[in-house]
Amino acid sequence: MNKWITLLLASLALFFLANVSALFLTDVTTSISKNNVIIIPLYGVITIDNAERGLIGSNSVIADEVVAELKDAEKDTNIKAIILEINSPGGSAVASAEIAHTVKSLNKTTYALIRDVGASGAYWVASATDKIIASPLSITGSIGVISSYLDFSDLFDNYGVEYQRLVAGKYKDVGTPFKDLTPEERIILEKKLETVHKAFIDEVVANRRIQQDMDRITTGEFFLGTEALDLGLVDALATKEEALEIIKKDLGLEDMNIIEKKKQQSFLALLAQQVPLSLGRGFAAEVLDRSTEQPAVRIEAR
Amino acid sequence: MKEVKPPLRQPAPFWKRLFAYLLDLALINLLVVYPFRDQLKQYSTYAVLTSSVQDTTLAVIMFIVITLTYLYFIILEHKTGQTLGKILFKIRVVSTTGTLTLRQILIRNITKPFPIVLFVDTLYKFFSKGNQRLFEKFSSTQVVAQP
Repeated sequence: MNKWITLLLASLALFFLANVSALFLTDVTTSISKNNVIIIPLYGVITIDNAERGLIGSNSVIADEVVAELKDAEKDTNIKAIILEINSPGGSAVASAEIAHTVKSLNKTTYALIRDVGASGAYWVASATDKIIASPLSITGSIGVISSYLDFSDLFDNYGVEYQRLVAGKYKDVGTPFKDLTPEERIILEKKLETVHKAFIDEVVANRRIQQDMDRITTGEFFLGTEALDLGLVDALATKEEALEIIKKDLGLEDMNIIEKKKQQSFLALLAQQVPLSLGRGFAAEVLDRSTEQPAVRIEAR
Repeated sequence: MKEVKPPLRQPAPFWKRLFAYLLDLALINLLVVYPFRDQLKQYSTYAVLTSSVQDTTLAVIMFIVITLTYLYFIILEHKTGQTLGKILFKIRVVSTTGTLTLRQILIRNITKPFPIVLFVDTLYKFFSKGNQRLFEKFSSTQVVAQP
């Protein structure tokens, strides 16, 4: 048989098989329970993109991915509610705000389930949900903003390394670790932190309608689950199992099917993400100096 | 009686094999992955590429896609010694021991649906004297340029 005819016939057969399988799968997926709730994990530091994971890789919450998952869950008519299972110390203020904004825009009931830690930026996200359930001993709150960095200038002096300052714009290198921060520069940085902090507080206050103990809540102090309940930062204390029961009752469901989107980083997955990424960006830059691609100062809600 | 020597087979250049594979992947995507577009919409590209989501539907889709990918390579190489990519780049699979058998084709294609495993499989060719992937060595096959 001519090779082109064989190719055509084989292609048609495969295409037919794939389409039949897809149709069958559609039938199967639509026949499953409509009382689904989806658990989306927010484990690790909240970041904008996976470039911040580094070569070795670590658990991180990438804003774009979470936003996409939330939107997918919103579109799925079989999903009744969305639970954000949080175990995160926070992270990028921008990434946290983006996730929180998406959570608020959803038309479905949303829950935050704080496990070990749901602090700072992660609490920002949690506050955007309809109900926050935390483990009694979890760490939450920490409504503050941080932008600390190591100042290497004295170390450099000891080794005779000098920072040659070449800037156009006198505040261009504010926050560089290679020179002391001037009082003027410190004021500038603190003002910016205040701005982010205020936005954070405004958001939490609006989301949670908190009116009491504002001075204590906004100091950046972290609170245990029990303290957070007293302060109105969370709505209920429960273990994960108890929390799911609470949610089931809230939604008035007799049976609730839980879809857990678990992120497990296999070695190959890590290879798939890290190798091309690292090669593409330059191995040396990845290992030695990632600061060249980032601004000197990072403002983080963590 | 004069002995007739088989014609010398020139191993296919690496670039031709790479582009042939990419072309096959593109066709497989069209034939085998595209029909599942509606089901795959609920997963982010990241989740699908890294298989980081534990989900039965996704697992079933992956299983079907992998099986059909195998079928693509096995049927075509068994029947013609060539896939679309190989036809267009004028290369073909041959046995180094005689006639190409189904068993040889099954072994040589084990790594095909998994690009990362295939990459490791291909690395062997750069560290050995021959011009074969590791599973080509196992299956006593090689890809040659057509005269």
